[in-house]
Amino acid sequence: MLRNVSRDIEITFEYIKERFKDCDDLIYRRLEVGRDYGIKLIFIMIDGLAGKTDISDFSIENLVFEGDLNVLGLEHYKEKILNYFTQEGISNFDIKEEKDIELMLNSIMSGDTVLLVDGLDTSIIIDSKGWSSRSISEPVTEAVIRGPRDGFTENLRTNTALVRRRIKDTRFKIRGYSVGRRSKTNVALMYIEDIVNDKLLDEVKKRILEIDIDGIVDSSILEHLIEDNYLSVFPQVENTERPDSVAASLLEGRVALIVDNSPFALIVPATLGTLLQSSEDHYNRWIETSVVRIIRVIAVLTSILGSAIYISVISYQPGLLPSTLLYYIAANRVNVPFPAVIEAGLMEITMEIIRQAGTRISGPIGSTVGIVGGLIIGQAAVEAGIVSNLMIIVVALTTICSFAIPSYELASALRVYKFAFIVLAGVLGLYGIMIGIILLGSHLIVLNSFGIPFSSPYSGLGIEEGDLKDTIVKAPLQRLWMRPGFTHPKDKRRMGRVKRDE
Amino acid sequence: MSKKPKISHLHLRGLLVSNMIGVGILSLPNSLADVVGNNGWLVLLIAGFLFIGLFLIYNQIFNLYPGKDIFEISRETLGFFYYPGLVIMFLYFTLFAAIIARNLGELIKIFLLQTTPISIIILVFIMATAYLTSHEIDCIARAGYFIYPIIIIFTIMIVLISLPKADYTHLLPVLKTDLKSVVKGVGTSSFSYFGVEIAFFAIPYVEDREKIVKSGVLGIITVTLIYIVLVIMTLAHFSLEQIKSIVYPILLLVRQLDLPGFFLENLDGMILSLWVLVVFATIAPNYYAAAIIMSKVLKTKHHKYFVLGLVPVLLIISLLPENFIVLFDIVQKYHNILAVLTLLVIPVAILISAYFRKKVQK
Repeated sequence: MLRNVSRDIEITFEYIKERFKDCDDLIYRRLEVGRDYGIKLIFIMIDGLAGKTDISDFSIENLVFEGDLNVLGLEHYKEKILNYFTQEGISNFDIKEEKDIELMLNSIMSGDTVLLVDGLDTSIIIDSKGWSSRSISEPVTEAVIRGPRDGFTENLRTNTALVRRRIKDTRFKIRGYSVGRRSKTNVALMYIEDIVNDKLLDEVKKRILEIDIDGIVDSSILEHLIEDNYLSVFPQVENTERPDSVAASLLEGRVALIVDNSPFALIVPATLGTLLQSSEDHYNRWIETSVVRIIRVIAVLTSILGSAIYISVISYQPGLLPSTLLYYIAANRVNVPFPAVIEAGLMEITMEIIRQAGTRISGPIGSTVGIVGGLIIGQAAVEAGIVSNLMIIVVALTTICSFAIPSYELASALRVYKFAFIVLAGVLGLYGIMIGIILLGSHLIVLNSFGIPFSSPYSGLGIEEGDLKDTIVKAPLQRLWMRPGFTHPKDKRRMGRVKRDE
Repeated sequence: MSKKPKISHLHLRGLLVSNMIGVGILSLPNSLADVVGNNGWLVLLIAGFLFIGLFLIYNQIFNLYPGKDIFEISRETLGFFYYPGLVIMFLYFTLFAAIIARNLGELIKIFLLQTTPISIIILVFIMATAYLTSHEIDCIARAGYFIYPIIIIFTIMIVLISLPKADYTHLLPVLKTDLKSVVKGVGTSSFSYFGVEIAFFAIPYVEDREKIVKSGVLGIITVTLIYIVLVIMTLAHFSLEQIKSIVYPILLLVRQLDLPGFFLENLDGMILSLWVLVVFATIAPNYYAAAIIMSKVLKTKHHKYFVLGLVPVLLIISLLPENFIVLFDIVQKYHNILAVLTLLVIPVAILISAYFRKKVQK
């Protein structure tokens, strides 16, 4: 077991080869430079991770054609040789020395090239990360009409750069962590030092350091490991593909996490208020945004309660409806053999299956699934008299409404509740729905995201700071001079008071 | 879990309002009409001031011992009577929660689910409440805070839609009642003001202490105004004699309204099902109080298990009365005595003892 790099190049190299036994992606190049006395050099890298042209052009080429080595007298050999390599011989940008073997192996595996020099007790690490990655493209899950079109990629550094481009401030910090015993995934913690609340930041750091797992494959794994209540249906961490959303959240005093190999950045804390906002809300004019948000709230309520209310009114409280409408519904349902709750359950499950099939198969076949599933099955079911027309309308409406929720995770969570509400409405009618609302409401009240109530900013803790200005109704930007209070930012003010009175 | 919960003064107000307004309000005009005729508003006003006084007493207790909760204070001041006091309070809160649950069960059975057994209705309700109740006071205060605007909106809605048909001559003659029935009326209306005692458990956790008095008094004034407005509206809508024969005048008021162009009819079912939320905000704090007192008596760390243990207890107590009339008798016989002890006697005893001790120390 070798701790540090040995002065004898062969010992170090043999050890590395031993560790990388049966790893065929390890490649190396031996080199001997100097005319009179050769110095043995070995370049080691992982094929595919490191950019070979970088090393060939700026390191190997220099050394091979370099005659200067002979100028060094043998007596100065030991002091000067390291200096020579780091100062003159290698013209790559990022170079560092590493004595520790384990750290050296780590950097080999993250795509750096290691240069071993005979007679030196340290290795030289040349940054040569150069694997091929997806270029920046438009986010698929969060398309906007107005707003920037760039989205995160799988490359951590590209992602942090996308955010850095938006906040050119030295107080915007990007701290690196390595999570996962085997995967050693790089995680970047991003925050703005003088805005973020220290307690929140410490809590995030603590939770990241507490993680003990072999590997993190995607940011969602990290999300599940750091959230407050893993039994809850609701996401307590927000995720986004959009660098502009991350930048905006950082400016609100929140903390963002970017995980290597994942195009989804995580933002904490997430609350009901933030999950119901889309990034486009901030780009549109305030009246438009307010109208859209009110409609969105209606959509949320419809998606959870739509079918349930229909069932309970039909089966328990038909007296609520005016008689003309009641006769119409009765005539419509006269041939339907099932009670409303079975009918709704069947149709909702069918809808979920169609949705699943549609998301797994994309492209032209996907639309076929939609057409066959939605149009043909729906039409045939009505004509066969298994379900009523109205039921199809209600189910289609609730499904469409659930797509109007900006956060996919929140929409999925609410879908679970939709089924619970259908069952409750089938058993206890309107009273059952109210019981469901009590349970759902209690859960939302009880839930926390990193010590901040999930029901913020409606939880009543930040009312006096003007938190309600940017909720269901968004005030004009000129009036939003304070940061949201629920994150308890250190720097509360974000805007000088605009005075433009005519 | 050891973290001390924090609530804001707005939460306190929401908690007070939503805890005080509960099932009592639906039958309030009826029970007042029986005692004081058409001067219910006067009685409510007097009762409102009395309860503001009570709230100030409660607040004064916590002013004398800042940073301590009700259990620490009463242990210090009540001495030998600490445990009996706790038991009385426990009985009060348990009985109150059970009465509320039974009341709700009856209402739901009459208006929404005629064929469902009342035990199921009550059991489901208690179990749903138990989830929130097993958490700390800040969560319960937050629930009250969410229900608060619902109550306000309801009142405004009911007033607005019943305004056109109101006939204010029903309110006349003003102030023509004898003092005796006014005193009796204050006693009757007190049931609608029970709930202010939740301040015991909430005040020590309020962050902005200087706003407690303002916010709490404002909360009680809000409740008083809502009661007065609703009693006056029902009186103006029906006549006094009619109200005496209607058990739930407010629901009937809603039922008789038909909105032009509104496609829903028989709004009482709707209103009642939404009223479940308001009742929830009333039962949850009492339930919580009962559980936390139990856990203090038995010196356990968390009240969670007592919340679970109380589910069957509440269910059985709430099912004991055979019918509504028996339930009413129980309220008058036992619950009112417990209420006087909990709301008035114990706090005043704590306060006097606290003053006495402070003097002796000096």
